Amino acid sequence: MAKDGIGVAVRRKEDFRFLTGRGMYVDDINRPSQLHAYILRSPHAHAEIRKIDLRKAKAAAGAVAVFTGEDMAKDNIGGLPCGWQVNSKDGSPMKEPPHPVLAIG
Amino acid sequence: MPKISMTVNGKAVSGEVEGRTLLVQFLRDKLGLTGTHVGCDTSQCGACVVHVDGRSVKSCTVLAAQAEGAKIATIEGLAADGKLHPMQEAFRDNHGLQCGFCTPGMVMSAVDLVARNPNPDEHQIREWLEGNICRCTGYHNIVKAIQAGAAAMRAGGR
Repeated sequence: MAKDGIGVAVRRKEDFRFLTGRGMYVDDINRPSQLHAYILRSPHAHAEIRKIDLRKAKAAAGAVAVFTGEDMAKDNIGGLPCGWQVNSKDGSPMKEPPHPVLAIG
Repeated sequence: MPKISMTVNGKAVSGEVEGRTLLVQFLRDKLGLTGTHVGCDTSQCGACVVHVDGRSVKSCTVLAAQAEGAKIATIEGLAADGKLHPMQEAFRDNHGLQCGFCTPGMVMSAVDLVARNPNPDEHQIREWLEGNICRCTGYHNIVKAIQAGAAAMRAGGR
């Protein structure tokens, strides 16, 4: 059987480190002075955000920074786009709802 | 905080940890052995499988303190002197991994299976792996890899 050329299976380069426990997935990375991010998810299945109060979060022990959708907007980072736009029945373009990456209070 | 000691991959280790520390956390955070993965919250996925006193165990479901005095083997300890274990070779040769996240658990589970049953058939392999979940491969090549690894282990006496 041919050792190389069309049709011959090629061994992957990355398998050695995956098989020996050196995959370095994100949670395996451990650098000095690294920070950890915590994503706060909604405790409610369906609700409306009236306001976001960051005071306790910012004052928490070890907290370096707290970010909301307002911070992303300030940095001109838009929301998640709708990748497949459809037209309404009358032919007008759909009204795309906003999908901010972080909640805005 | 309890002080615990055990042998991991042949080396004596010890540490002071909270009583609630899981074995997988002790291995990953205290010993820096990040080859053992946490893939779920529910003891279902098997990415955390290690050997405790020769038996495959889900290290997320064992307290570190429960392993006091035990002999632990993790994926990092499987290759000897830079040479892959036959089971590791078999996974590579049979494309038994894609993203590789489940792989340490799969390999450790497989090595224990073959230690108990040197010639497992496909059904026995799939049954043994019920506690190991893979999102990428569809298991087909994992089964082939384990059959090949078992054959190599029988031939090489390892």
